[in-house]
Amino acid sequence: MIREVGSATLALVGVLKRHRALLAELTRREMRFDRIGLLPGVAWQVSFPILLLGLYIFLFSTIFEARNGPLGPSGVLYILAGLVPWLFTAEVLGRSSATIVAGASLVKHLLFPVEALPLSVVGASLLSFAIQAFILLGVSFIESNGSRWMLMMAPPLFGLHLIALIGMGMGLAAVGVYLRDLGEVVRILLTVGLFAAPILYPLAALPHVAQVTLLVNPFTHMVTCYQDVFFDGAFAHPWSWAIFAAFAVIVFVLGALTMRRARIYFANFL
Amino acid sequence: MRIANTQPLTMLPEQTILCVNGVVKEYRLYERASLLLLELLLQGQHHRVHRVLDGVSFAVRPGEIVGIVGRNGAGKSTLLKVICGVLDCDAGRIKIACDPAPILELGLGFDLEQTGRENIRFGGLCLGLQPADIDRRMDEIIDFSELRSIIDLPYRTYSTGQRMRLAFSTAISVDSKLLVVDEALAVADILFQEKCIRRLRDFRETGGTVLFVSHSLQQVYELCTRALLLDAGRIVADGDPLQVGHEYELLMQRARARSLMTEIDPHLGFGNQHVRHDLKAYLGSISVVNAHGASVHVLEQGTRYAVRIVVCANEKIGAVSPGFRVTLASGIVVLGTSSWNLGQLPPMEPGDRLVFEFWFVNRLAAGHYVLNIGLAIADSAQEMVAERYVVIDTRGEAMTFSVVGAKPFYGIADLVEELVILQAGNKVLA
Repeated sequence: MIREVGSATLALVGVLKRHRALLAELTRREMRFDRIGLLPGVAWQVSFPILLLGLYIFLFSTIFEARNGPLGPSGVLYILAGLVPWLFTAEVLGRSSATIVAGASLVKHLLFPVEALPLSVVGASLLSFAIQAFILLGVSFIESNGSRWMLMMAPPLFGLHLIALIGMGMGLAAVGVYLRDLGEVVRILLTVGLFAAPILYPLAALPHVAQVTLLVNPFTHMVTCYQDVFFDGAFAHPWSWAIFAAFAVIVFVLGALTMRRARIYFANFL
Repeated sequence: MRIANTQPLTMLPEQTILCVNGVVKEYRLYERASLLLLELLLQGQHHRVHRVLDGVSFAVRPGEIVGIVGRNGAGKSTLLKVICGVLDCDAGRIKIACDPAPILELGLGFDLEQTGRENIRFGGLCLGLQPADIDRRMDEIIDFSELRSIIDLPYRTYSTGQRMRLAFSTAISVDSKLLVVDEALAVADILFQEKCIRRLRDFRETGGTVLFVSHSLQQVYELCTRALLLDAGRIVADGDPLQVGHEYELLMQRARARSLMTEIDPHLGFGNQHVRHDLKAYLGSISVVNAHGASVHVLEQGTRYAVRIVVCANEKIGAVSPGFRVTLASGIVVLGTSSWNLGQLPPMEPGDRLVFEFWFVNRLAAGHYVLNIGLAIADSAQEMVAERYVVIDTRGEAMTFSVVGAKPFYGIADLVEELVILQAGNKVLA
């Protein structure tokens, strides 16, 4: 199994190395610039994530008065720290399960690097994440009470996050070939997911039973890690780091294995 | 001609580019895709097995153009996919000396909204070309497609034929020693088809090898150095394209006869004996035979054949005259004659069966022809000559045959036998 995971990882690296141009092209198509032209496309890609963040912040800080509520005066930063990674996660997972089915003709008729398809979904979601992360970084710099040194942990955390997303993306894409309705299920779960992690409220605001339930959700730990970096500026939740790191590695291994074992049947099923 | 069997090849020719050895491919048919997942996760059987390739073995030497023919569902496309590695196989082995360039379907990854040029780029990337290669070959590809004037317009504005041309031009630009082409030429117009065939020939001359599935025997005869006939997942004939083409025709004929026998009119049997009691005399089996008396459907130019008509009589008849007409698919009559025209009007007794063979040297142009048969009877030869006869049985479009050959001439019949050149120089003038 270790050898399988190894060769699956090598296949991924191979895609990044040999098929870079193809991956770039697939990513560009996934971003759907061409439908509306490059300039409006980029404008949309840039403005939509900002608008989305603005809407969430407006809703939860003004209408629900988060500033005076349980989140305290830095409520906006708190929401941002959890919301930005969550939106990235939701976008990738929401689009992953259909990607191989959408590229069926390529997989069926060519010696096509299948891994490029889920990777292109991650790639296409990176732009809006980068914009939102930039905003998060700015707000964190102004509002964070903790140590700015903690921002040094952002790149490794993002690395773990990326590994987890690639793993889950590959798994969903592979299983999505066989369960065509998977995308619908995932989208429903993602809608619930926004409220099943301490993104818009602090964990402490919940009754004890609900707190324990939320701790089972791996995304709770992802969100907490990001909050450690950008909001608390300290390792406030060391367990979350360990759990999220383990989660990332496990889903990567599972995703890579699923992809590897299922891919030989793809052409038979598409 | 080697009739292939299902045993694996033990002896391999020394120099092969591709060796397919006892390949078996089974499709597992699941009613729902989720049943497969169930099987992967838990044990149990939730599928039916359909064997598409049943022990296919052959070897290809560099420089061969191998045509694969066979009826729908014979396993041709599956074989190509297995060879290219797009599909796995359940048993057997494939040894291949280089990366094959699969042209299994045209226009893969082509996007309607993108321009022709962008699609060439993406199509090339999908086929495994590097960006630098694509840029280098861009002009060549555009020139081959003859679409330079519209290359920067969106793909959706192209006609079906233009899309095909762009896709084929892109596909064929791939560097590989082995091209695997599945039915790619079917939709092209004739001029572009000829261009593609020239391109494939050039490719072969530079040492390239082509594996090629086609439903057009004509294309196989024109292009291939060797042909394989696939039927129900097995290779049933392997060798010279003309001979394999003939086997294919026979296969089709048998299949056609079976379906006609069971479903339509039993009297329309092809080459099969049948009996009618309602007529004084009737047409029996009809065929075109070669010098050895074997029934053929593919005729070579310059060779002797006969139209063979069997006439059966139920009563005493003074004179019978079977005749035939050869027409083009367009309905133009190329030739029509009868035993009356040829001055032979034999009488028949009840229960008689006479075989009429009209021998000819085939001087027809390459193409497809239709044979129509009729039978006239009269009370005596004199009555027949006096045109007091009855056409008692006819068989319109009794059978079709093809003519193959590469002899160059214009028109539908090559009637010139000999060219004599005389010196009209000084001697004559002197």
